[in-house]
Amino acid sequence: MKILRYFILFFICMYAAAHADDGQPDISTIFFQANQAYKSGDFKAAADGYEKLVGAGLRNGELLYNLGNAYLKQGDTGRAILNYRSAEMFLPRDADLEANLQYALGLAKDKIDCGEGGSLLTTVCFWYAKLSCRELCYVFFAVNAVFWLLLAVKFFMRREMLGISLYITLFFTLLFGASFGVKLYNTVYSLSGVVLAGEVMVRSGSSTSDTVLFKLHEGAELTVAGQENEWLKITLCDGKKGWVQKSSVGIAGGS
Amino acid sequence: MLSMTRPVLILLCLLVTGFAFTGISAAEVSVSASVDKNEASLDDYIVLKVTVEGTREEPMMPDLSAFKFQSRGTSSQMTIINGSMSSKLEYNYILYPQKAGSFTIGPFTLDADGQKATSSPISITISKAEPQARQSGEIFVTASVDNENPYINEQIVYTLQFCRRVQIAGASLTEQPSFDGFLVENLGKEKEYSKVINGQEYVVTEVRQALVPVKTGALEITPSTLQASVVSQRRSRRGGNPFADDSFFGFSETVPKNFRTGPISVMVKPLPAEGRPADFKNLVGDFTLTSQLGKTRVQAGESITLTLTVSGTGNLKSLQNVDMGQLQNFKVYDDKPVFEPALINGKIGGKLVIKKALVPLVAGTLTIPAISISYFDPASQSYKKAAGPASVVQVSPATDKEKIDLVQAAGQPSAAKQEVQVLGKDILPIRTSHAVMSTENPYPGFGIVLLFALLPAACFFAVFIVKRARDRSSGDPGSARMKNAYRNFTKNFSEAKKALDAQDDQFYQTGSKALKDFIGDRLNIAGQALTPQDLEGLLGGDVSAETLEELKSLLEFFDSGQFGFRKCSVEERKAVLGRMQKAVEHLNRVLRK
Repeated sequence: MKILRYFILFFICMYAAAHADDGQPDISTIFFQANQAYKSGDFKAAADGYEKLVGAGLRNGELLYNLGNAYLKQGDTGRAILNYRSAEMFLPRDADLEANLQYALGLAKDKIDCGEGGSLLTTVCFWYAKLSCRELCYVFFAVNAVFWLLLAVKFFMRREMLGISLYITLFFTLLFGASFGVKLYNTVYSLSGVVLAGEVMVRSGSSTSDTVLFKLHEGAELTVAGQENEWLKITLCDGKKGWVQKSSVGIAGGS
Repeated sequence: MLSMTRPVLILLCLLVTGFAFTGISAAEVSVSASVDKNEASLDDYIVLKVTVEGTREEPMMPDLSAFKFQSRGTSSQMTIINGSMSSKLEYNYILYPQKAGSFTIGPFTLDADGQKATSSPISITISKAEPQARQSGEIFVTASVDNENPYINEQIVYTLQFCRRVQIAGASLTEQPSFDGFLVENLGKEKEYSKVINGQEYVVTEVRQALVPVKTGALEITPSTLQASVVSQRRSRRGGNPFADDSFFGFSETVPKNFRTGPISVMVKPLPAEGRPADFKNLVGDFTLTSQLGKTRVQAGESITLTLTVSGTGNLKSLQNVDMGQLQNFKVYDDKPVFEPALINGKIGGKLVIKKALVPLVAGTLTIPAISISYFDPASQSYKKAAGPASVVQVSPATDKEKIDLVQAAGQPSAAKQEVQVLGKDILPIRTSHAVMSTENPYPGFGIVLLFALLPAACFFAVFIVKRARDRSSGDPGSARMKNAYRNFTKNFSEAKKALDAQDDQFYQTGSKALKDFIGDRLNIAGQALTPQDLEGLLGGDVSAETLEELKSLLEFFDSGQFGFRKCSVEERKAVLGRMQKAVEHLNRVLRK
């Protein structure tokens, strides 16, 4: 992975060198300037710089974390949470990220009671939250390979212990296969969103003439259940449902 | 046959007749109650028998609050008189009187299918047990204290003795005595021994408890009741039965009996006011005090352990600490006292160890004065002091590193820990490493997923197919032989080619082998014994007559060369081999189809 990363970095640097004469600063400069801006307290310039890097095709957990920090320092809680959630897809066990996300969630105005269901699931299937989609995929590959290998060995050597090992490996193959499948689906078809606007009217239908059911504020997290033109059908974890305008909501991983 | 059926018929008739009359008898429902005696004492017990006739319903129990009762089972009886059958059910109970007076048992009522029956009430008079009677006879219980007139906090011993010279099957205390106004401690486990009372040897079971009165005046220890199953012998019809005493053989029975002690009055005296020391802390008994210093040479500020040990019999448990008064030039830190209870000469006592940490504040020769405790000795009826010796400590000046904190000395040995105060909140900083300038996909590509998920399975199936094919070929040698026929021919043919220049025999042999082995392998038969005539039967329907003739000709050529004296040149041999190759290839194609 490291070699791949350096390889990509090399190509990015080559690309940056090739386009150095465009009159545009290269990505290293943008990154350096954004960091400087952040340290000097110019958080807007820092956020703009990081956004430029994202726009240039860079995408990783650290960059999204920095972007979240820059937005949070500006007081843009919604975008901060959105970028932290996106960064979580790459860095699921990063303690700094978790601390900053919790801090940002603490600033969100809406208190949505999600009950114990989520925490129970994450306690029982603890690996789901602790591993990224890629990591889950690698674990699945490994367990799957071990399973088929054991099956092949059993095919040649009929040993009783192999049978037990085979069933255990099959169980883990199915478990991690299912976990990976769910994670992949949630990552590819990102369903979690964050309210970016200061206040959003959640309506009973996809029209401004529909009844306002309730209001959500910046930083409120939601699940996208459907889309119709410029409207999103959303669900809150406490079960509330409604329609919001797409422009007022950011989708995690989709920025 | 007739002789067998007749008794059966008679029995059936009797049963039918019996059941017919049962219906009549069942209609007469009655209940009656009886006791074995109407007058009893508190030590005694009464046998109650309730008889129900005409039904198997249980009667309603009346109020029996003046008794403890115990079921002794039921017995049933069925009688047929002149064809009339009646059933009787007896319920047996043992009643243990709980208080003296006149009581009425019953009436018992019965409700069987709407028919009601009532028994007559029974009058019972219960008298108090005679104390004299208790300590006589074969079995009795006594309770006593060693001192009926103790001082407050003075320890006395309560003894319960169960004496018997008859066999018992078991015993238990059904009524515990009440020790209101006393602190109670058990003095070991119950013990059993033999004792001669009034010239008779008894087995005695004894339970002892230490009682410490905590208030003055008249206190009463209530009676206790012991229930024992006394083994009594049945009269044997035949004399000289060696097993007469053995309940196993059914010649003896157990009879439950109650034994009750009398109440005990204890008059508790207050401690005398005269001569009471100022430091007296209600310690009553007999005690000694010893003191021991951990070390006698220390630096100022260094801790010394002073161990005070108070031991003896009495209410030592109530002593919490030993007051040392105002100890000059020392800081004193108390440790938690440790009490080790012990039984000393049949009385409760023990050892109380009190440890104190002494920190000398100044250098020099410091004296710890004699430490004492005051207690009341009931034996001499006077207040006494138990004292340890005075001690001397040589204290050298403290080094600079160990200056004594006199301000802290007055307070606690260590300050209480504080919660960490959160003074502000902020997020953690940004990442500045070059890893930020990389691109990652949060999920792997579909192709990679598919490849790595299916690759192991594909490998497995490939291995599976290869192995199966091998197994199949090794399991069916015929088909394997057919399949490898041409390959073997190629090998043999090249051997024949090599023998072109060789001796005649070798060429003919290798050539013959190549052709015959091929035909034999292809048809899964023994090829070496093939003759040209055999070929017609084997290949007649499959190959053309021309090919058949060619093969026959080749076989004849090799056979005549091998077994005859036919000689041919190398050129001729080459031509024959060419013909053989063509014929075999053609035959291979035809047979494969």
